[in-house]
Order: sequence, then C-alpha cells, then structure tokens
Amino acid sequence: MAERPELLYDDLVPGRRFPEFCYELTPDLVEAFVAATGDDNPVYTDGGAARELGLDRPTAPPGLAGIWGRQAYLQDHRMPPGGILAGQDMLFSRPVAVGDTLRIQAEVTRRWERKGRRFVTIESTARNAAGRQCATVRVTAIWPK
Amino acid sequence: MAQVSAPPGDRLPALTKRVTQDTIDAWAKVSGDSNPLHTDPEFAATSRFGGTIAHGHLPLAWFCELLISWAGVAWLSAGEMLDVRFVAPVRPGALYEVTGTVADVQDGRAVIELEIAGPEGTCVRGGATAPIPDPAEGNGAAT
Repeated sequence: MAERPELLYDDLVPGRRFPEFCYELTPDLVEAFVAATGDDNPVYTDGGAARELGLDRPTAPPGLAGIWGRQAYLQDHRMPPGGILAGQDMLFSRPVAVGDTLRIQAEVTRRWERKGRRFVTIESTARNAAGRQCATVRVTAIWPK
Repeated sequence: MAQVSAPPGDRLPALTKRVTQDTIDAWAKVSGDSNPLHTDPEFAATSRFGGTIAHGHLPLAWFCELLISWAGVAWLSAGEMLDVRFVAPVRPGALYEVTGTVADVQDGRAVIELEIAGPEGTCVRGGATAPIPDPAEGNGAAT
C-alpha cells in the first residue's frame, strides 16, 4: 500500500475543509483507551453505572476527542516528521454513547509564522447520528514543513 | 436544595499517573499515531528530546479524567478545556501529578487552572470551565 502523502503547511490555507471523517466509538476502542490511560470510570463500560447517572448507555470517554480531532485532518495524509503540538482546546456539548459513530468536519482556521516557526490551527467539530453537535476540538501545531 | 459552592482556591482531587513505554505504545495503538518519536527508543535517542516522549493527547485525557472525577458527567454536556499548553515532555519511567484548582466562579461555572507536573517541573498547563457539582446529587463524580 502506498504511503499517504505528507500534509504540508503550504496546503493548509485557512478555510480549507477536509472530507467528513467517520469515527466509530466501539467497545473495543473504549477498552483500549481505558487500558492506555488508566481511566477506569465505569460510566464508560458499565451500562448499569451509566443508567444510574441518567445516561441510556455507556458513554465514550471525552479524551477520545484528542484522537478524532487529529485523525479528522490526517485521514488521507500523514504528519511530516517534527510536528509539535503547541496548544489545544476541547469544548463538549453533548455526551456520545459507546456504539455511536461520530461525523467530524475539520477545517483550517488560522495559520501564521512567528520567529521562523509555522503555526496552524485546525478546528474539528463532531456531530452524532442525529446531526447534533457533540464536541469541538481546536488543535494548534507547529508545522515542520 | 443543597448549597453548591466551589470557592476559589479549592483543589480538585489530584491524580497520579506513572508513564511507561508500554503506556505510550498503548496510546500509539489506540490513536493510530505511531510517530517513532513516541515508539522507537533508538530513533528518539537521536532527537532533541534524547528519548521517547508521550503523545501530547495522553495528558489531555488525564485532564478529562480529572475534570469528570470532580464535576461528574455534567462535564460531558457543558465542559470546556481551554488553552492547554505543552511546556515540557512527558517521559516514560516518570511519575506525574495531575492537578486542578478553582480560580474563579463565573456565571455559576467554575474556572479551573490545570497543571501536570513531573520530575522536570510543569509539563502541561491549561484552563477549564465546568458546572459546579452538587454534592447532594450522584453525578458520577468521585467520592
């Protein structure tokens, strides 16, 4: 399989929108996330615990937003070596149940140069199957080339 | 209704996290980010960091854990994590403390200062806002 092309600074023009990215929140994904982070809150895995808190089903860990917020703009590309995560915002407006699929739209909102470094901000907004906004992630990275 | 308060200066129950190369490899697998700076000790030894470092999104997940442990699942519907900055790398083999302090209350929401500190001092800092938890209600917050 051919390697995906690098996503380059020159291609990251503000206003550029990436293809919609679908991200399925499977129980296996949540299990792997829990193992990696050590966050074993039962609301992510136990239906009974979720229902006690008024949720229909186990809810996806919000920390997954860091993953889909990145994959949404790298689905057809790879990050050039040397990129550095400089800053991040996450805004949550609705829980997402395990088993749901998010539809994510990523857009370049800003790019600039300062002291010889190139910065890019990309904003990704996730909606659930009903089309309701669930979360927004803004990533600012130092782009290597 | 119980009085709900979170006076400035209140500290959220801190988390302690030990990072190992296995932790980083597990995050690489779940995130799909296999950058050798994170996963290849030989490659990373030649980098300016002198060894592997954790992905930046791993400590963000710790902040989420901290905030939900305090604010409960209400944070999933009205939580914000803002202006998180990466000051120093999170490295395998080290222990990190994840902390939050209520800095202010605005419009009924807590404004929280977040920090992750390890052997090299502060690694990650940022801010958050959260609904103030009502201790009289079970909301998924840690007890």
